[in-house]
Amino acid sequence: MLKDITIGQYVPGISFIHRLDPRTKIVAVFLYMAALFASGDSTGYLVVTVFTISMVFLSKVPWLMIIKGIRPLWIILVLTMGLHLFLTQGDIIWQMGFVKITQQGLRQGVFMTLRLVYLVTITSLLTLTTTPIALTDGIESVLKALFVPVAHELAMMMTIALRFIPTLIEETEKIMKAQMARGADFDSGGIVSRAKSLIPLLVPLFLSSFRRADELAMAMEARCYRGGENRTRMKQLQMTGLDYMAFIIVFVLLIVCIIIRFWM
Amino acid sequence: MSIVLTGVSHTYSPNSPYEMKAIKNIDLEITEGEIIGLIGHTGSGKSTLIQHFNGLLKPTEGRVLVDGVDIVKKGVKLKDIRKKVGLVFQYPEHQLFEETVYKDIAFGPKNIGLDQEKTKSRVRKAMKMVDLDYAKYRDISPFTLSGGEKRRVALAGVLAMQPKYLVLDEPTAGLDPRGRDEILRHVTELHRRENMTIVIVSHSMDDIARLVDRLIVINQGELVYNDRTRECFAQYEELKRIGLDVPTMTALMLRLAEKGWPVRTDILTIKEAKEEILRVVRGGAADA
Repeated sequence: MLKDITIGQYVPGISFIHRLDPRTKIVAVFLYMAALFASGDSTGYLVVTVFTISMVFLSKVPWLMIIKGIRPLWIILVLTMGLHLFLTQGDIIWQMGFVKITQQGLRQGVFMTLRLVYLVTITSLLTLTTTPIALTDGIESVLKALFVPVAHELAMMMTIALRFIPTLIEETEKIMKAQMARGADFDSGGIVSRAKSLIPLLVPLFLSSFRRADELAMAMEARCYRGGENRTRMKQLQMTGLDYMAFIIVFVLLIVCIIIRFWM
Repeated sequence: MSIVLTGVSHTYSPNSPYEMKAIKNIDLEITEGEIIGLIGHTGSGKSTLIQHFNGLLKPTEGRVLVDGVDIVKKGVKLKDIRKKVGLVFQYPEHQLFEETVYKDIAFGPKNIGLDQEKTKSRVRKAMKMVDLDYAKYRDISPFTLSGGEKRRVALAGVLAMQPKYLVLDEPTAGLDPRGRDEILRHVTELHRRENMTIVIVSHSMDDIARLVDRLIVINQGELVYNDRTRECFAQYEELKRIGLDVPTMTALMLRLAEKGWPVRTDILTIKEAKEEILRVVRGGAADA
């Protein structure tokens, strides 16, 4: 159950996408998003769909991982689809009582749902093909380029948060089992009793998180960590020909999408 | 009455890229009144195995019967199973959450629906079993206690369920020698006085040698030995091969035997070792 969470997971590999510089990937994701939001008709979506699918193929990440990442969103997807489907005004194609589906609604619903699915696919592709360390290095230098203060600290916080997601999940399962062994019941009863039943889980979880944070801070200080000031790195990020190629591809995608949107 | 496992296997995340067979085809019986040790290398499936005893995990294959009741049968209330089989996890003090020691120990009894009077008497009794003074500790926060005390509170939290079977996963991990001796003393007393059936998982072969009558050894999810402690430790070469030690005294006797001393090597405790060495030394002196 809890093990199915794929946020921040990394699938090792040596594909074209794996080898790209993290900065390239981050910027490319934003360009991709712009292209996605620029597309508004079937031609545009066809282009984006082809692009997205080829990216997943190129990355050699198993499809199952991508689907797992999308699955938790199903409520939002169904809601998006439903709201557009039933509430958009226009040419009616199906009607039963006051419930009606319009052609525009169907179109909007499909497009919006696809847009969400693609957004999640590409962003999870980013985390699936980039080690957390490389990712935060990338974020740090992108933030620095945007003149954001404390870029290093922000990036460090992100790394640590990502790093501890699996640990916390493991810990939660362990504490849950320990309390279940004492007769605790986490999945029956009304909302109030369910919320109450979380206390024996949350208190130990918070405590252990604080303990871990304390220990980590101590360990970092013991190794003379003092933030981003004058910090140099062992692994310098380096752009290669591959990265410039990737930029060209994503730019072409964006331009094609804009042309389709405004001139066709 | 007993806990019986027949052909139990457990697979994590079946039919996925992360599929992992944690235990394979385990046959096991834990009879009432026994005190049993469970040893195995890290990742050998010990924790997975013990979670089957009280239905926290359900076997992927095979059956688990607790006092004749199949834990996966429809209509079986897992709470009833968990009342019978108490499970104390590793570092149990990490599960403490209440404001006072009393409230934390009362968590279990309250969950199984006991009234205030009964809960109170159970908390009292459980605290007595682990040598915590009721009047002194009742109203203080468990988080202010020392490591050893915290662990005893957590142990009392399980004992307050008054289980027939008590399963302990590494109960002495991370404690100082004094805390360790205390916990082991309580475990022995629970077995002798309360007649509790005990399964104890440990990495310390010395503790195991001192405490248990029967030993279960698992390696990579499979049952390797299931025999009296002495017989198990006699297989020291095989144990070494799967990354396990023998008790310090057994190791000592093995070394002496290697050097040509005519000592018995099926020695488990210091007392036995002393007697055996004296026997050989005195016998040798008489010969000379």
